[in-house]
Amino acid sequence: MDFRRVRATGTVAAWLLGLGLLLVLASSSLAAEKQWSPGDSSIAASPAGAVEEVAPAASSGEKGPDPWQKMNRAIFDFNEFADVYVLAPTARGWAFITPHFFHVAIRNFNDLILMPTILFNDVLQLEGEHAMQDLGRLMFNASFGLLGLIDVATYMGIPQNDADFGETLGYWGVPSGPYLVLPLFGPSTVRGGVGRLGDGAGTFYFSYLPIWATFLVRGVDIISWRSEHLEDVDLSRRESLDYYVFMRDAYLQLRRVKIDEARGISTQTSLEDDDLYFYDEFDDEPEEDDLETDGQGSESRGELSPAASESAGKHGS
Amino acid sequence: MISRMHGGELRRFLQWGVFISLIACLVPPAGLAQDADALTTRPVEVVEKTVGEVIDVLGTPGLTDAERRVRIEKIAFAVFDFTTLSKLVLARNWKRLDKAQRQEFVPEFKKYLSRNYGSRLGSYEKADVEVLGARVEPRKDVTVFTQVDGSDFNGIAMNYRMRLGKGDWKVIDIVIEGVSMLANFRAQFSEVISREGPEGLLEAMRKRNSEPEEES
Repeated sequence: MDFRRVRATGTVAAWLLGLGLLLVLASSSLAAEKQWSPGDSSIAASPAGAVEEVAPAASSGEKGPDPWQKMNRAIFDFNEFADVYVLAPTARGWAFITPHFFHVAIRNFNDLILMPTILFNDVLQLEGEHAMQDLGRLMFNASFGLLGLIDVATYMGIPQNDADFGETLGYWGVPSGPYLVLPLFGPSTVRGGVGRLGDGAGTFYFSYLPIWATFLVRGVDIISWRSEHLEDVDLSRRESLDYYVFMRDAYLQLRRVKIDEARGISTQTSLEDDDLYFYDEFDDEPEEDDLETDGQGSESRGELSPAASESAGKHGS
Repeated sequence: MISRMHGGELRRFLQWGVFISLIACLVPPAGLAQDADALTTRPVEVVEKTVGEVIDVLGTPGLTDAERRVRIEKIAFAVFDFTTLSKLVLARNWKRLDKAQRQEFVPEFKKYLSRNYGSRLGSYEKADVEVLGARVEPRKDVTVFTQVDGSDFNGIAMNYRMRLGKGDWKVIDIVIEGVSMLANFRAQFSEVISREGPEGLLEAMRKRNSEPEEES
């Protein structure tokens, strides 16, 4: 009993800390964003204007979204090492001894443990509809779904939402800060890292299981998830020219879309049009109009020494 | 004339006036909406046709992986304009490539893409694709919104950014769940170029393209 109480006060303290941080950050950003006031009459008011997101595309490559690239790459390499030598082999074994439906059940069970935190974030993001849906999921899956093992809510047509605390912070205008790779947790930003702390505290606070069991379920779910994505990850690793940048860009794009969605900005693509789809009008010479000549290009290979091409490159820029 | 009307006539006149001006207000937006539809008709057709053909090939029994790949490449290559795609993916860095390098980059990039997507084709088996709508973008691009039904990618949103070029609409980007493939490649390529220059990028692509492909 004592144990439970200690745990409860600890997690409440963590939440209060997170909330306090949220309020401080939100108020400072609201002060900067004058066109939106908390007393805005429209109910669907989401803070207008774009959040200061890290731009996923770095055209120069020097600083851009990733000023801490050196450190991030080191952590990323460590994570890759941990994945290749620990997580992936475990997941392979796991996939060998457990059937797919078991992974699904674990996933559902885990989702139920996460659901109160998601619900909490729905409320913080003023997403009334999502909150109702997630409350419905929580109730139906906990009861008819046998403590979450079966996802009856999906069969009933209740969509699954996922909201997290990093997203909530973004919703309230907290800038993402630089890209940050977290040890073991992977791609994130400074804001995402704070969000993870908040969500972690929430998960353990709201979980109806003791701490060790919550850890266990989360751990098994991660292994289970990894075992379902063995091939995808291998393909991405093998195909990308720079796996670190592949992951960084995919993460930053996804986050941007999710936060835009939460803020009611429908972008569909995560980048500014001018950023992505319009190269400078480089007065194209007509003969360059179609370079799609298979095989021919390879003939010119090797004619240029790296040094020569380098100087040509410098000249061009 | 109005001054000579009786009260009732005046009211009726005003009512008609209001009615007609309301109609007049309503008509132009409807007309514009139709224009937008007209603009998106062809790009939507192109996406539907292409996706339909690919699904047909995937559903054809008795094809070897290689045969399948050849057929799909033929369909896919018709809707991509690889020169435009190369310029878009390299953006400002395109200028850093000299003519020979550009001439080499385009086919290498084509090969690179075809290998990447070719190796993932297996996951699309038994997939169906539903066109949800389309939107006209700035500078007359059109985005076609689709959703995958079935297969490993059930429920995934796949949007095709289309641009009119060389006689028909071409795909210039595929946006999967909000992640632009073009932007992702661009980030990677720009990283490689900033570290190793254009020749370094070409070298990396040559190396990647000459690796033996794994059977999926």
